[in-house]
Amino acid sequence: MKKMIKKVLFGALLVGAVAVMGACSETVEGTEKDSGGKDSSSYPTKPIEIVVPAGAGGDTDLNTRTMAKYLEKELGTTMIITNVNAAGGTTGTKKVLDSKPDGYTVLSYHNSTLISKILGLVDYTYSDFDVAGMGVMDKGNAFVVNNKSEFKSLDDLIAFAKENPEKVTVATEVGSFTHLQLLAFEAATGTKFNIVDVGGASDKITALLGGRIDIIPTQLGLVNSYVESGDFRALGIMSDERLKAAPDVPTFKEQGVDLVMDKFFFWGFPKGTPEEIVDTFTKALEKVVANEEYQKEMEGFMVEPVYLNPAEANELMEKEDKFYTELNPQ
Amino acid sequence: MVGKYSDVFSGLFLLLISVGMFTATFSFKALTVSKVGPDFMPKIIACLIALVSIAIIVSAFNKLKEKKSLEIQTVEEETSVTVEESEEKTYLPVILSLALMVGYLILMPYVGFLIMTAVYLFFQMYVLSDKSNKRLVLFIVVSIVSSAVTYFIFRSIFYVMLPSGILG
Amino acid sequence: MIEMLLAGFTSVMTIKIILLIVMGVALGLVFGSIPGLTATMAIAICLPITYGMDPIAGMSLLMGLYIGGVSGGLIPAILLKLPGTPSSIATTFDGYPMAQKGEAGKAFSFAIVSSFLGGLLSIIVLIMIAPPLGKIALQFGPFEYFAIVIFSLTLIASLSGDSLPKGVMAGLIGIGFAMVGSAPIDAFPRFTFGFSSLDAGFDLLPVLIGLFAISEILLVAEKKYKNKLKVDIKNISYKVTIKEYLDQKWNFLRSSVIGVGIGILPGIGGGTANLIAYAAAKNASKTPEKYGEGIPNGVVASESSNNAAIGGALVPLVSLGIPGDTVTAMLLGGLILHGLQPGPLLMQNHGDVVFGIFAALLIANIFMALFLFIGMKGFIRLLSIPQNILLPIIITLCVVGAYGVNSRLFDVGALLFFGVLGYFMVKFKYPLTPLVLGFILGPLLETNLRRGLMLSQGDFMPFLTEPIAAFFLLVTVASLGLKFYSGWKKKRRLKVY
Repeated sequence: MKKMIKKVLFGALLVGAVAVMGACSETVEGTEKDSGGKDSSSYPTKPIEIVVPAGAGGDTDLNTRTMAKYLEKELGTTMIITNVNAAGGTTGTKKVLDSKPDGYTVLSYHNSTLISKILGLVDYTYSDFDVAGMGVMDKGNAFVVNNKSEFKSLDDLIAFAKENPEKVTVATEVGSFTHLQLLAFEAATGTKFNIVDVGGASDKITALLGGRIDIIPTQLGLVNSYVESGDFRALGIMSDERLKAAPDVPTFKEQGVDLVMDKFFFWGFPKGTPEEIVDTFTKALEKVVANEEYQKEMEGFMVEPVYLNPAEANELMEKEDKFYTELNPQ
Repeated sequence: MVGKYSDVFSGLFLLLISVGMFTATFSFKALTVSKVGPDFMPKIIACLIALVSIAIIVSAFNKLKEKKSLEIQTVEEETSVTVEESEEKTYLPVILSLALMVGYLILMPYVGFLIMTAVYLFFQMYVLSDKSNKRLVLFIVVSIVSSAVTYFIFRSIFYVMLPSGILG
Repeated sequence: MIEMLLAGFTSVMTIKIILLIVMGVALGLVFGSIPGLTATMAIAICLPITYGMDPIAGMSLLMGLYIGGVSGGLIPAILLKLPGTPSSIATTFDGYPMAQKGEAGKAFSFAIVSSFLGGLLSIIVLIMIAPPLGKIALQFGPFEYFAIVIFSLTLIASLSGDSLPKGVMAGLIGIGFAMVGSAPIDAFPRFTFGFSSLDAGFDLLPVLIGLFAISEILLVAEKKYKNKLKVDIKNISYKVTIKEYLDQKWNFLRSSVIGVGIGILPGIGGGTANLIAYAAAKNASKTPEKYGEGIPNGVVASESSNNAAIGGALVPLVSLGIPGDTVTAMLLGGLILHGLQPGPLLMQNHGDVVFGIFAALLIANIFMALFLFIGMKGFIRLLSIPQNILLPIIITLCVVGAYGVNSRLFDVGALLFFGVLGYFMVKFKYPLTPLVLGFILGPLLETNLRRGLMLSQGDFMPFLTEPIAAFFLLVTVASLGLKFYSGWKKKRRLKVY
């Protein structure tokens, strides 16, 4: 009997706690429940689970959560974000692939889906999903050095690397998008680096701050505060044009290296999801990207809100897939 | 199960495991050019497990020898200890508990967390009780209430998507 | 500094924020105290809720959860021998025997006071000298990590129980299990035997609660529960004299410093801090044989170090924007979503928020101790719930916790597997703790070895010549040597008899 009292007390405590927190977060949960109807066009009728194959708090997670906040308003249902951070994202991707194609489980991930297949780690890729489109791209993929570094520009780096092959130490996470960037850079410039695995985004920052490596390829948005503080310097970004948020950082193209690599974030349903459901989701995506509030928030993270419909997204990924395969990271 | 040869058995078992582990490493491929590949550490650990398991077996035999020489003097003590240890130990409830847990796990995706948990709780409580404290009504109430409370809190408030099974 | 802190206090001294801290601490304690649910889970669940709040309010709630979640683990550790979280494994070693002797109240008093003081000390360190301490973390690269992991692994020797070979074996098994799944660096799936669900390997949580909680229920099933209390809960002594507290001062200081130090190093975390502090206390003691039989020193070492690791883990986060563990990684995400760029400029640009966080930490620390002291007698009453009812409920909560890790039933299966493994290990008299230590540290060892070799382009020498690495390796060799020497001396003395 005592256990029951305890249980009820625990329960009451939990419910109370949540109620208070809920009250404080009314601003987030401004969901409208006005979509009626019962047939398949009434999607969604229950919460949608978004699987993020990356840790809570990382850039994939933040981009997804921000998008989800606006999607909730557009679709009129709750978005539940599940972080499945294991085995380089393959576990989460597989989870979506294996789930019911009913529109209530959706994947939000990036370039790594393509790379895992190319590396032979998994036997599925973007085309095994019903892609719903893209809502954001990170065009700030940069080469960053410690401010004390002798390299002031890509030219310095290339000249030094050509004379001293395998002497420039560059950090990456083997098999990740940045690893491909390095291989592409080596191929484009005829240089050879000592490519070293140091771990994820924050481990790279630690290693560069600690002076153990010469260059980290990373996204500008993740190191912006270190650039501001004068600890780091960005040598350039791999996009078509300079970023609005960082007009001082030149592109690789400007510096004579013809290399454009953007990190894209796509939404994918398991194969066989009804077309009208994917369509509803895509339309919501398009509306959110057009929303100025969303655009402003995304620019705060130094990423670019871009809407790509499923056909465009598939086309882009097909192109990238070919490019990555040619680089052959093995 | 736990006889005087238990260390010998566990040592031999681990020795076998280490051999299996070592053989499995030969299929590992390195995806990067590096001094040591993904098979380096597993090989080392497999060898260490083999070494330590041999040490365990040897020391077990040594102890057995020592015991034999001492046994004659301390027969009484020995028997009293073993009697105490084997007092009312039955392995049936252990096997039943295990079977319950496995069943709970296997059926959960089909039946759902809510029902399976209540069912599991009831039977597990039953298995753990002896005649003096089989209070079935209490078990049923506690099972249902705690399953419902857990399910509600985690699924509806914390959004941990516990399997809903036939109820979903 | 003082002014900033005062400003911080004024910004959190609103009814709403205090209420959030109180709720955070309470919820954290609940999550921490239920085996299978952890501070990490509590924060992951509440993170989205904070997105709608202003930064100070949101972070205050998370700090309450963090402190509560790490501290709550001491309750089941002392009463039921179940570590509520990885941070309280070592608390079970002496806390539970104390409870068995009828000293549960005393164990709680020691644990709560050490948690409070350990937390307080680390928060003060965080406020005063975060920037220079953060710089130390930067000095640790793969060579240094490799050495410090080797050093930590040798502690298995002190945590082995009766038989050193068996302890070492358990540690090796732990390292072996950590190898299942994608290899570090090149992600080649090892020991998966073609099952793609094994690609991700085993998560620490199912391993830990499987080994400790599931195996426990199997052991209880063996004897069948008798409605008989081992401990008379009406006659429990709560009294601890000032002198008894003062006797712990060196132990407390050493353990707290270890906690802060390990907290600062990204990647090692509070799960190991308590074990290392315990082993250090045992090694430094004149009566190491009393450890494990219910000596307050063990409780003090474990509980002061795990709370001290909180402040430590926040040091690199606040001063450099580098997260030390999964919890601080989530806090980092929380800061970014609020538009605060974590990094070297955080303190300068958003000093108000940072000092608000400090103030919230101090307040949460006080509430944590307060709640635990008030609840102490109630927790002890948990012992009067028949185990045949309590344990099954704990099992289902473990299942929820394991499932919550990655929302898949595989982790629940892993939980059962390690439960059975733990049962057989206990039956064959193998200690469980070295397995957990090996499981946590094994991947760090391998990853840093391989990363170091990549960095040095295949040269093993830097592992021995880098000053910090060399220092830790020397200490390792020295402490092992000392251990074997004293063991040998003891044996010789025995032979004389």
